[in-house]
Amino acid sequence: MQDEKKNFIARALRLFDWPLFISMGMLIGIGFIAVYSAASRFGHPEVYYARQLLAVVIGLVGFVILLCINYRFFREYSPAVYGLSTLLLIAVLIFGEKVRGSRSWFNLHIFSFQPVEITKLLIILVLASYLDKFWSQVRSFKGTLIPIFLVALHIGLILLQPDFSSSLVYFPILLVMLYLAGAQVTHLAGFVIFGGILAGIPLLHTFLKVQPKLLAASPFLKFICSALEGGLSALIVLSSVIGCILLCWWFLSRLRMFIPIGYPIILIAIVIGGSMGSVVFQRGLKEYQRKRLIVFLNPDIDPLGAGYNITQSAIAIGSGRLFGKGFKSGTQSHLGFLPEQHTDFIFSVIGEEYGFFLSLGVLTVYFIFIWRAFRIGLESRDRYGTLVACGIACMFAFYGIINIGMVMGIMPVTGLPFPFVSYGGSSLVSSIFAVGLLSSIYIRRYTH
Amino acid sequence: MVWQGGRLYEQREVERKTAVVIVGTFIFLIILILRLFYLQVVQGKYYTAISESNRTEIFFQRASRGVIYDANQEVLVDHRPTFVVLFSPLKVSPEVFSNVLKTLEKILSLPVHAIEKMVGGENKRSVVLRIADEISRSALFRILEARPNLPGVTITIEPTRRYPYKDWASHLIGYLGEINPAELAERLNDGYKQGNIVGKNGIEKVYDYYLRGKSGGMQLEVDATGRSQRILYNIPSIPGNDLYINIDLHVQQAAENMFKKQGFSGAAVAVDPGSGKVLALVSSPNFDPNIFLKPLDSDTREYLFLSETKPLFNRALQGQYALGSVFKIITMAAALESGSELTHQTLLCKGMFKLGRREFGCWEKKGHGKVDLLKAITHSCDVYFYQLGLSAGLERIVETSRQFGLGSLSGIDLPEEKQGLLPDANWKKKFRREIWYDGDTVNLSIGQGFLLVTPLQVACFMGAVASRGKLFRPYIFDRIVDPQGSVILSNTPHLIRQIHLKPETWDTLHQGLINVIENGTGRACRIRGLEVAGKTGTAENPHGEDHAWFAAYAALPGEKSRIAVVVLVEHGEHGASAAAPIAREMIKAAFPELDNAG
Repeated sequence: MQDEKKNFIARALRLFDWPLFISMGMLIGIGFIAVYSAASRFGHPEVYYARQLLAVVIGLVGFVILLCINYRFFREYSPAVYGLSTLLLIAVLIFGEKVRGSRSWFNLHIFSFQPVEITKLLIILVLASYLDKFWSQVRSFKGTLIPIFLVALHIGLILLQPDFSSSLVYFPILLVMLYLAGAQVTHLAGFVIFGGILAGIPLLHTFLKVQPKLLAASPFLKFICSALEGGLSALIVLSSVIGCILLCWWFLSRLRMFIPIGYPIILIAIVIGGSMGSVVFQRGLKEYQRKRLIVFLNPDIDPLGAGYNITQSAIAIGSGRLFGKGFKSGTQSHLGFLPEQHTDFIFSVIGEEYGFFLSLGVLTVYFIFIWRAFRIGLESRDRYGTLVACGIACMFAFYGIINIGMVMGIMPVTGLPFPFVSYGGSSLVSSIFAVGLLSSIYIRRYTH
Repeated sequence: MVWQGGRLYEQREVERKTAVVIVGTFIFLIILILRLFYLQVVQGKYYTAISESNRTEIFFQRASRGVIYDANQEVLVDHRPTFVVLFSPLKVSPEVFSNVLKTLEKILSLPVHAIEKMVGGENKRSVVLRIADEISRSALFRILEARPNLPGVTITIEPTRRYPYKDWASHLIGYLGEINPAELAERLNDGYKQGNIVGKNGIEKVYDYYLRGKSGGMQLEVDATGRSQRILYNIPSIPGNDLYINIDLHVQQAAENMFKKQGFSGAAVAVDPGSGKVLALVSSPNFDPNIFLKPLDSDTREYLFLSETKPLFNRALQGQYALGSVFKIITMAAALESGSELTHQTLLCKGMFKLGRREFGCWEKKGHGKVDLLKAITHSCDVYFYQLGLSAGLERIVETSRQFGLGSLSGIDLPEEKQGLLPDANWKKKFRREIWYDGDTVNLSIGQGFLLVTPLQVACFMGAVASRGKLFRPYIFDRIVDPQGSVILSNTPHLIRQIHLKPETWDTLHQGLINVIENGTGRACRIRGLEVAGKTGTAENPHGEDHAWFAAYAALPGEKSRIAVVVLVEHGEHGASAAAPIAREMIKAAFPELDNAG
């Protein structure tokens, strides 16, 4: 027993993915420096520092535990894992503390934590487990519906909090894991189109609505805008779109490209379904949230709200130039021009204070980290490990792209953190846990 | 490595698909890096400029203009602190903005739309707006109280010019206004800038360069809510230099009060005969320079620029009038110098003098009877002086006048002086295309006809009579003292010329002028304890009532003359009644040791 334990530690250390761990450590370190600088504006940056440190400690404890547990354990007990995570999401709706209008935090007095940060990892484990067990069924349309339903239930519970931005990460994870597990690209495309129409109609409407000058200049856009609101013009547009689809199909068949009639019919169903579903989306999101999602297209549409934020963030990053303004010398951050500078907009602090070369360095380290995560997926000893690792890698990639794109003004303002770097205990703990899972998979890559 | 319990081709498929996802991720990475490069390298300069303007605000600090002191070191012009409300609307959200406007409206009773107008349009880009100048103390306290609800609103203290004596000496002091393009072009090399406030007239204009000081500036670092964090750099403003002038406020005040009391328009000038220092310079009606510190309302504008009384017109050095009998002093001097027999003879005045077919009346219609030179000057007998003038001859009269400074600029340090007109035969031929008749000489000998003088010229000429021939350039400014107290520029008397007349001539002139005061036309200016010499005058005015002149100089018995004054009252008719009492008050003010009993 003693020997076996010693054996395990030795093997773990030998097979450990050091690049992954070191890049994580570097990101956490950069986070410490940047958060310290950003938080010094609020006075007592030590408090932020201490909380961040506590999260790292908790995270590392979890990391070691997850490293020791064989990840296949989660595959065996996946129904229990799913049940537990669902319970967490239900519990937070009942016992959670309402902060800024959403009930998404457990207040445990010593610290608060956000269950969604844990459940997003758990859902990856559950999804991987389902897709591994029933991988042969995923190729059929029906087979994809069950995993979609599993995820949709959680998304629904999260939207009840409501916490729109946290639910976003579920979509790319679901999509990528289904894709890797062998789901048909056409099926996935159908879902993407459905989602695109569902979200696109209200967003396009908001985008047009907030630019009255544009509407006044163009009668066509005005018609489109009124069609997006529904009513007769909506019917005209919808039927003409359906007509177009059928016309295309007929035209292609004349060119001797025979496509089963089922495809255009399903496409039409998706278009109609998406259009109807868009009403839900429209109701579900408040005006300011919709604005935030599109403001990167034109910051002028909300110059005093989200537009102000991304404009100031771009100014902060741009003014950092090649070498930055120096530690704690960022004027944009220290004089309060940056919003949420220690959390979501931490990368603009880095850009402003440390300049292009170091920002590029941070980006590079982050993408080395993601690349290592995907590598772990490729080197896993089984499909389950591959799916879990790729799901986690995809999650980090999504966070990084969305967050950094947002602070640079090319992605929607969603309020997603920059993993490891942004201030925020739950996110940091869960990210380190995720690395624990990855390492658990990696050190067992030769185990049979 | 092969999956445990899996098939190779399945694993290859997953590997292929993972590669697709990785490639997708890296495409995004490239996009992010390109964006980072664009922001920080391509546009870095641009964003740096924005972030600098984000965090800094510049406040200009107006320098306080120099103080102007009179000859007795009394403050004539100074400045006082005023509170100015500044507003930087850029960093204020719309809801807060409208609340701020509402609060400001309540406190400053400045309508919301007026502020909005200021904020909107062109001003929108400026960092700081001046919402209100010179707010009252109560408004100041109310703003300070409401300050937490007034983001972007700041209050600064600015020195504002103050003319405590209001309209006294207004023509002499001048007033302030924003620099106009012509002035700017002229003074660009002296560091003047658009929007500067400069002296528009009087000594404010002439000595503006010394008085203005140097504006300072403060660059502040501000946070997103517009609160200042620290001063990045501060160039303190340098106050202007103080100006000491020769004006004696008491003399000035005596004249101002008399003009005001009588409601006369006209001018009065007092100089020191021994130096040319201008002790008083009055033009009536006058104006209050304080009103130019704020935008003028239409009534004031009309009064200042369009009214018949022309309050901005400085009659003391721009008004050109016939001199009347005061000119007899020059006629007398010319005759005495010429050695004319007439000066020793007695003539009979029947109130009329015939020259060929033309008749020239005496002001005393019934005539003065037998008159000699001294009696003629004492009672200002025209008939006697007609003949005296003829005997002295035109050339000598003109030459003597020229010697006394008539017909040329006195050279005072004030802008836009006029030179009057000293006619002679050449002038008449050139401008009137007529020869000079003896009748013209007759007219000239009592100061009528073509002759035009300014009150200032007369004062200088009177000063020269008092000092037995020393014609000084009149001057206002005495010295300029910098804020540390050292004199950087000082003025000294400038003798234009010594007029060489025979000592007997000076004695006779002096005696004659003493007689005028003692028992002649100038009795209204008799002052106990002083030796006053003077001459009254009435200038014919083709446009209305005659103008009244009185010129005099005064000394303590046995001492040198201390003051020479001249008073012109427009439409005052008789120098004796209208002008002499004003001169009397001015002379009395110049001799404070007399305790002014009578």
